[in-house]
Amino acid sequence: MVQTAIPRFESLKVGDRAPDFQFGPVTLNMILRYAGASGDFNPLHNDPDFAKAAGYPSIFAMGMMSAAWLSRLLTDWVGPQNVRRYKVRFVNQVWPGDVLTCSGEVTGKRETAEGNLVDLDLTVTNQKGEVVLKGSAAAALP
Amino acid sequence: MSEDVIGRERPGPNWYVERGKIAEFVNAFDDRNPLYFDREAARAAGLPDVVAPPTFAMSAGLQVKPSAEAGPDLRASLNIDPKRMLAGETEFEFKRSLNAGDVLSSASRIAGVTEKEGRRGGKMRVFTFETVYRDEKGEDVLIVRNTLLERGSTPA
Repeated sequence: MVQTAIPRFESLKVGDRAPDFQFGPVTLNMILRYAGASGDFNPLHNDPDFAKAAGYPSIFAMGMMSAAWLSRLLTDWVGPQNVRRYKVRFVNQVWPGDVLTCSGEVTGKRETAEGNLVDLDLTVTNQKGEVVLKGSAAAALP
Repeated sequence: MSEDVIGRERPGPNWYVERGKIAEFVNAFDDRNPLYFDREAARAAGLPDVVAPPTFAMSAGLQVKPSAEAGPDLRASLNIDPKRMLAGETEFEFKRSLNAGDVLSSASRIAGVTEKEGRRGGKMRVFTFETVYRDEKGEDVLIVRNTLLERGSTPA
């Protein structure tokens, strides 16, 4: 269920969390769908022989694929039109079979010339509890 | 070699933000937000047309190929070994929402090249690219900062 109501700036407070959401298990099909949509055909993500020759046990997902799934948590929460910054850092690889959990928390609130901004920390964690992607974002809210 | 590439800039072709491409992109991660598909829902939310998701610019950088007259490809000029290349971080900074119907020009530059000791030995190179997307009024809409890593050695 997609949430389309935009929270008001004063209704959010530091420490508020979005409901976690999961994606996966990651499949080759999921990776190829993202490859087609984004145009990222780096062979590390679709060619097992190339991935092995580069020293990896198998292909792995593009970091931006996890960033796209994580963006759902962000945009369901604050509305895609209100995102002013979205930053992701790729910490660990995502492998076929992984089940990922996205989470998010309010870390700050600022009244600026660009509007009332809410700062958020966003994280993708795998089934072993390892962080694979660390994100942060700012959203301008009414 | 690092010094002479920093600041090297390359203009990109126009990027036409299209409804169909937005729909294809968000389908790849099963996003059902009506603001991505439904123009009436987008207008009811005060937007000119359906909105693009935060990471949508990834599809622009990879699919819209600059012309040869724009000069040498920035990434190719750095001789990065594809087997040792890794994504580091990516930042999207929005001055306003990106919407279907936007026609954006772009300019990319190499913002930095640094070297440091890799965790597995060898020199790791860190490359930072910045692309600014401007609308037809000449106003900045989106700035994308992308960091790529070249490991000192291959994994294993």
